[in-house]
Amino acid sequence: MIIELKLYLLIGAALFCLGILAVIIKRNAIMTLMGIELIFNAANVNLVAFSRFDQNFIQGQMVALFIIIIAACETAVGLALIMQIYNYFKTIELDKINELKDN
Amino acid sequence: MNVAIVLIPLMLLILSSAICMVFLKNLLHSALMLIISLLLIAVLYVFLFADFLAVSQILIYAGGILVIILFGIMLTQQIGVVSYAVINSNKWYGIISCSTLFLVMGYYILQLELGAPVATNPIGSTIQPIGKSLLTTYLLPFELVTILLTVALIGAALIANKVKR
Repeated sequence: MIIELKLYLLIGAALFCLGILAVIIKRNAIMTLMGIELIFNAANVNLVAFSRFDQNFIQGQMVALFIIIIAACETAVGLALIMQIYNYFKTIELDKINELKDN
Repeated sequence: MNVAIVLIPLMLLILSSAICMVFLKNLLHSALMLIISLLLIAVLYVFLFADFLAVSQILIYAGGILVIILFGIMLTQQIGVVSYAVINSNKWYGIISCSTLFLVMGYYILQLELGAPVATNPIGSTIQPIGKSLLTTYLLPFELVTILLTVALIGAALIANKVKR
């Protein structure tokens, strides 16, 4: 049982690191959003795994449910912002959006 | 343990599709890999006796969020430029730092001393307890999250509107 729980925790950690990697190295704004989705899912896997071995069974799942809803909000607002950025700069390469940078 | 025979290939599939998502060169392919990974995570939820969560994962992520992301990809690609290509920067620094982070996390997870877990085997589905606790224990977060969702969607529609400047 404990080994199984640690397996879930390990896969949560791996997904989290892959999400961080996507956020760090990708220069496309949509790829960054997708990395954030992966991070949310890593958190959800951890919560549900803990909830499986919890006495109060439902707690972790409720928090995961709220996290899914908040992820939906975040994606909608983020993509709306990306659309506006694309209309203004004609690109979503994060390195090219450097209007405030002194160069 | 019988479950591990199914569980370990499933986890390897989740990991490999997530790795493909990060390292594929084509933006659309990465989005499809993200869909696969999210659907497999839903299967993982079924193994954890979270059936309602698995269904809502499929509905909201694969049905909702990924459709929005695909629309976003299609609406923000310039025609003529190398389409759907993703450029990496600081790739090796990123890989090194993230794998170090994973090694540290994995080390401490394996060191973890968890108390004896109670193997709860619920009878039937979790839909009824989730519905009950949404309207009793979690009533305030539920209402707040509905307001948040409404405001965020209205705000997204407002932001995405083309305003004449």
